[in-house]
Amino acid sequence: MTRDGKAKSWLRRAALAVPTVLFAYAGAGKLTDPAAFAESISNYQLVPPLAAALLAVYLPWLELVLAFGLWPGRTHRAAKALSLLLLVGFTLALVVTAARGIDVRCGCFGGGAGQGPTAAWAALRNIVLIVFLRFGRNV
Amino acid sequence: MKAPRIRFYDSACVVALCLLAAPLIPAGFTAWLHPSRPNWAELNAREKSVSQDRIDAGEARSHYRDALWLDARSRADYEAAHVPGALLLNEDEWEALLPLVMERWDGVQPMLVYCGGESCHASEAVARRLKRELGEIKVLVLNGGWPAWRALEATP
Repeated sequence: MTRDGKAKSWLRRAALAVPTVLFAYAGAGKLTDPAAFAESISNYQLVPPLAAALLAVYLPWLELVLAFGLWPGRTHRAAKALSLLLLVGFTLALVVTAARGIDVRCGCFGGGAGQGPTAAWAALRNIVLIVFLRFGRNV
Repeated sequence: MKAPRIRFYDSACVVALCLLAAPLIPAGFTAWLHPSRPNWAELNAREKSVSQDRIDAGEARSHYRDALWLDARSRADYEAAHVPGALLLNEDEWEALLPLVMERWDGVQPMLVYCGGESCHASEAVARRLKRELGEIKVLVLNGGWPAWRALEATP
């Protein structure tokens, strides 16, 4: 590989590392208190309580699986697509909730209701992550 | 030369399905064993009670004067004007404000939370969180919030 190619490859891997670390950190954080996370999801008033409880235990593990799945060759493409879908989904939820006038704190990294940045900042951060994800490669 | 057969597990769709299925097992364990696992029944009950335990300003003023009134708005709004005797309790300063509320609360009186108006859900969020942290206590939400109170006070 040319020197230029090597630098580009390094950059792309660094770009992929950003969403990886964030997903892993977010997933792990939510796992410390799934009950609080379920509470956060409830506050969005988008899903019924049962769905909130199920999502509260499923989503953190999905984030962890995707974080690791971004790197092996076999799983890279699928993990990337799913991560993008997830981020788009989260951002939509934030936008819809903010539009409805519901004041939610993100709950993005775990913690109960009231923790974390406001919807606007969280949505912005998600968009930045989407960009990193599109640009990132595992080789 | 024959084209190599594409093995079905090479398909990105299958991989995606596997990635989606993989978290189900640890999620199941989490739901079963985690010390802080979500309790659906509790969430459900709390949702019901938060949506049901709402009262209008008129009823609040006549029957719940002795309740502990809580203002769920921002500090700036609270300091500008609030229901006389109400304490500030919002999610931003929860850790700092809750002890002050607990000091004032006599342990049995109902709590009444209000926020900025019809479209503001902070009062519900505060009510939900109070029920979650303090157990099965009576927390009411004021319909119409601060504007409803103001309108009522303006009339003789």
